[in-house]
Amino acid sequence: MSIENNTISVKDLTIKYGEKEAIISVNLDIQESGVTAFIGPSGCGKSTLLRAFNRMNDEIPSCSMIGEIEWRGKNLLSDEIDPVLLRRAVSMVFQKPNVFPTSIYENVAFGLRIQGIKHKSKLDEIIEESLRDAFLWDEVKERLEDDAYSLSGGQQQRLCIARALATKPSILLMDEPTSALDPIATAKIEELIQALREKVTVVIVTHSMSQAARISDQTVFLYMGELIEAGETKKIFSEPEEELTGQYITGRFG
Amino acid sequence: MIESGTFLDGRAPRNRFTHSALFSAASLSVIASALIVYTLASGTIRFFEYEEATFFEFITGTDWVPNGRNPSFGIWPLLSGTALIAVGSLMISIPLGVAAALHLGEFASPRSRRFLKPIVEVLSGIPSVVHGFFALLVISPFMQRTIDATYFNAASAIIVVAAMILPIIVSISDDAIRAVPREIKEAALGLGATRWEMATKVVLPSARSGIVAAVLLALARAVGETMAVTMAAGSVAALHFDPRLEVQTLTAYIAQVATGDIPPGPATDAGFAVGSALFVLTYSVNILAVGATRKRLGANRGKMASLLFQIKVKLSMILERISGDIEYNLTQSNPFIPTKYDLFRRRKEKVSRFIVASSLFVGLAFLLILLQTILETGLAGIDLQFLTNFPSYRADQAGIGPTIWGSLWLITLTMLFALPAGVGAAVYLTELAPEGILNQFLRRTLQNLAAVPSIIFGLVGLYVFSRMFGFGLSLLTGSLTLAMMVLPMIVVTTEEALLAVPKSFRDAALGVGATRWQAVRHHVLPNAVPGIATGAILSVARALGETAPILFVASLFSKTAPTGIMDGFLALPIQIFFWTRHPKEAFHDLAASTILVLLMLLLILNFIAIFIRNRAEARRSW
Repeated sequence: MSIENNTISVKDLTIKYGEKEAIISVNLDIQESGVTAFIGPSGCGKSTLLRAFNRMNDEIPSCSMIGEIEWRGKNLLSDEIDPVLLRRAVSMVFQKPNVFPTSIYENVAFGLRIQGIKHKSKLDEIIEESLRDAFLWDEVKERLEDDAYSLSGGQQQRLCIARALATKPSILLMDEPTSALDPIATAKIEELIQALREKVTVVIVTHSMSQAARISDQTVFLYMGELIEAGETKKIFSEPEEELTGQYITGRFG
Repeated sequence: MIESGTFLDGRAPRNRFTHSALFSAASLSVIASALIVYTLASGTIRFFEYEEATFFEFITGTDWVPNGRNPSFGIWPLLSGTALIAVGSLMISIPLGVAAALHLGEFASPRSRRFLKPIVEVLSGIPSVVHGFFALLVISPFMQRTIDATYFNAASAIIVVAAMILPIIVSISDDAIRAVPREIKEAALGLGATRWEMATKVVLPSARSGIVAAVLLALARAVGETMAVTMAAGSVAALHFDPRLEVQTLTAYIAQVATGDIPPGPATDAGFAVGSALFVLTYSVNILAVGATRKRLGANRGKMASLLFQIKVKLSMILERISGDIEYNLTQSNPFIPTKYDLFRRRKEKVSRFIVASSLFVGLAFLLILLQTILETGLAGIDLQFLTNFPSYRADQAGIGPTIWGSLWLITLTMLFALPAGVGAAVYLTELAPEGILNQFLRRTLQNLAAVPSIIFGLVGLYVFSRMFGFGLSLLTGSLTLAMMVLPMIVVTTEEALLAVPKSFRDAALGVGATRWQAVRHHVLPNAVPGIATGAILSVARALGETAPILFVASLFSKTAPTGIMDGFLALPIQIFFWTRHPKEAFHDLAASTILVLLMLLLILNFIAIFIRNRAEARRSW
């Protein structure tokens, strides 16, 4: 695929922790629309790859990245990109619900306040919108000043999603967002992801193949740091080109 | 040969004697606490039996004139002196300490952390009498020149007390900051926060209960600090808050009683009443600190928080009305072009991180100036004659021979009492005692004992060991007093060493039929020896540098080394105290030389502790 404005292109990306290579010269194009899932057995590097898109890997001292990620005509990995600004547009939801020890309201307000938005009415407006987008508004609208820890695990994760949406990101990275949740909470998050696809590009890492099959348009299969296969989800799950992919999705390893 | 029946009917042998011995060791903290309360209570009652003293005047009076024909015992001047020093030193050490902890925990590279952390540790190892020397002979002259302070002044005391409590604030805040889960820090960064915003908006609020505890413990320490304030702040109790002038703290008054500047009678017994006030004060602060540590992250914030939230909402609405509306683009922002506000954030990040990083260098500068002054003044005076002669009243002949011997005797005896008791108590509490009310009670007692200001131990030594038990002004009295003081420290370090031994070791022994004590004796204690030894050596260092508890019982005029436990004694810190206060300058140099000897001994002790710890870590196979 050629370089278009609506593509995120990973070019010959290698990521190392110290001397150990976690991602080995990966090339990949991600459509800037819909949902893309990264699958593969644990330790295959899928989270490491995800954390490259908003430079979260910068926060790990031993981690180094070689290669390019091109988006909107810029190389996201170059020194001229400020990760702090980037993360506003490429936001992230993590594996464990990681709410801040403050109120529900302040959790969502965080990303806005650090951008200098102090006005209550503006904040109120964006916070309500974000909570609605995260399917949480009706459950919390009466108790916005309650401690975020008073929410259930699934609600906390949706709060984290609302928090990430508040800064109006173009891309939402999700690192196994349901791995700490029960099936009912998981179903709710999956439904939410389906609804979000209209507003934001979702890139999700998942340990569950069925989840990838249910929610994603594109699927990327990684194995031991290498990209084995990438393509339309339907195709990957029905007629994979690589033998390894076939073995993995039929549960023969991983 | 095992007789049949020994393990079938009845119980296995239970090491009854060992159990009760260990239980007694654990109960010593209760006895020590009882002695403290008894000493303070009976002394206070004695004080109020004098005609000159009334309880009402004591708690409401604003004049503290213990001497003269018409004495007056209103405690407020002492309280205000104490408050001035405590609040003043906290105002310096809270910002510095929290900033330093933030730098260590969030910004410093592992390499600079390895370099910076020892500054804090060295600072915490300097005895308070050394800080007193520095305050009186270096900082005070500076204050006299710059802010027109008097010879004795609160300002110099405030500065050294700040340096003394800084390590408490740094190390406890650092622990709290490092305990903040990595996940929520990542959440902040993932939302586009700078590291500074992450540190101030997420890490600090999450660590706040730990930081509050740190501040409260530092406050308790500042209130209880004796030597530096006695030496630098003076002995005139006056109700004012001017740091340039002389003040007397609660502790300093007790020390004044100890040094014999106070005639017998109500003025002396007033020391006990002041001691009671000091005890109540530090005890309450300590209780608050324990309460603060209990509060966990994410615990329900309750009504107070909800109220604060309402206030915040109101404020921001007012703010909004005043400042009008800023346009905020609700559409997606450009990730490549910083807004004006982003540029401001970048500058703020740089400046703030620089300021925070420099906080530890203030501590370093303090340390370097202190060491440099002492080396400059003291090094020349150290020779064989100085190390062997007796403390003559002629400066050119004076030495510290008997003083060194006194200190060595003192720490040996102290450890002889405190080590078995402390290790025994720790073994009982961690390994044998059933979890329950009794265990909790014993632990709480130890915690409280650890928080008692050292000068109060001095009162107990004087009243109980010296007078009641009739041990007089002897090594025995001095070492029992110090033993009471270091006991909690030994218990805590021993417990840590025991808990570091894997549970599986105990299970393995219990699984083949050992009693709990046998498991501990053969499988836990041997593996905990290096940890216990390290803790014991650090306790020796503490006892060696401590002045206040033995201020009452040291014999200033003994010219010979002690030969038995009932002899009078001198100790290095006491010698430093008296030579520093000597009007002749030649004796100040002697004090500096004595400080150097004391610091050398402390340095050696610390090196031994580090050596043992490192060797044990290298040899450990589990």
